[in-house]
Amino acid sequence: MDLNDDGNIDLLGEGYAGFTYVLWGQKDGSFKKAVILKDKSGKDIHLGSYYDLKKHEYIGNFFKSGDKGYFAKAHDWDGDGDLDLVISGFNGAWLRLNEGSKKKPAFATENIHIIKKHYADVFVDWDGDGLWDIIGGDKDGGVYFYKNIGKKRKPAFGEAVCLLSPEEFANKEYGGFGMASQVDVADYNHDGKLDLIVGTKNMVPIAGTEFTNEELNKEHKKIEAQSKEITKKVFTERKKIKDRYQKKFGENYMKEMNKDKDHKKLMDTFSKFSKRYNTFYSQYKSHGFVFVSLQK
Amino acid sequence: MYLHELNNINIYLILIYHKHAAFWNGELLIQRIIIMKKIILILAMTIAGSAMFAQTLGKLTIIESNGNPIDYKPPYVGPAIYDLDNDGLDDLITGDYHGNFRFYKNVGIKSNPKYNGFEFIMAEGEKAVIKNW
Repeated sequence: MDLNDDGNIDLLGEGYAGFTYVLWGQKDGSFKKAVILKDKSGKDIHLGSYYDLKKHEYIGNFFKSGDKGYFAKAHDWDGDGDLDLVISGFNGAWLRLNEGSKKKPAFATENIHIIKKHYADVFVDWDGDGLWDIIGGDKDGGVYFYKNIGKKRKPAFGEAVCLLSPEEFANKEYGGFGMASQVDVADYNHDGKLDLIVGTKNMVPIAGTEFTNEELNKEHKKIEAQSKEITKKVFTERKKIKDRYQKKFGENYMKEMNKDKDHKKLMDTFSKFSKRYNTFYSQYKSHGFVFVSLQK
Repeated sequence: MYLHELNNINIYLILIYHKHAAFWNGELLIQRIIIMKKIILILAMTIAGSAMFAQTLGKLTIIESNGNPIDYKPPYVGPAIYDLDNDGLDDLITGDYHGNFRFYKNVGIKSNPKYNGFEFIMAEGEKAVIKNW
């Protein structure tokens, strides 16, 4: 991807702290060190939740939030000839329009929520109707397709269609599933058809576990749903308590907040669930595989 | 339900809608039919989509390097296929949990890519990295 149209390939990515980085490509094919991309007002680009690198504190609902960036891609979303930014997070993907030019990008200060679920990894005309579509992975490990039902310069999307379910990444012998999928689309074997290349956190049950693969998969789905619910609840409640103590004690709120009974109870709930969560997944061996699925 | 059955229902729905919409404003009618078509298309994609697209995909194969599966620890990896070294063959580029980038040079042929290990992508003489903190 050539973000500033200087003829050199650049690398784009998202750090865990929630900022979008670019490594500018040089004429000799090398790269400059990663720098945080700024919007047109000079502010760091993020989705609202991030880790403040100067104050060393979490801003927003950092850990399981829909508004913290996981992955960043560049794509000419509005068909005006320059590259815009698409940043994926826990609850879908957001758009930062390039309000500058092809050679001098100036990204908007606002994030526009474009899809509510899954990641937006690739923008490609998957169904061959002349409009680019979205293909993306998900925390759940599946691969999803959003058909572009809009027009050339006005993309629009309906519901996602699952191209590959997490269970399709199961080990042939031991079962299991995929998680945290990231996708690329390319003609991998140059046969004229688009193929899927998928990076996953591949979970394979450890040999000798007392449960069947079906039982484990059922429990996995249950525990993931609970995780989403409990984490959301804990962080929403914790934010309320934090705001209350911060208002009263200012910068030294943490010490006082830790003594709070409700806060302690909340943290205990979270800690107990985390223990259960980790115990469940200790029945698996995880791999970071890259799969290819060739289109027939 | 098969796709052709779904299409018949779509046509039927449009006809019913058309009949009732005729009592409304004529200009609105065309716009409403377009919206209705889009809604039906979304419904069709949702219900029949998996069958339409998944059936064309082949089996999943783990990509190997040096004859062994590429296996990241910690197990998070984002792949990209791109001819980074401009030799006419698409290479495999990956991003990992630590924020580093790996370059797997394609030493195979166009129709059958092969990789024999990787090099970290460098930036200003050091391993290129996207910092987490």
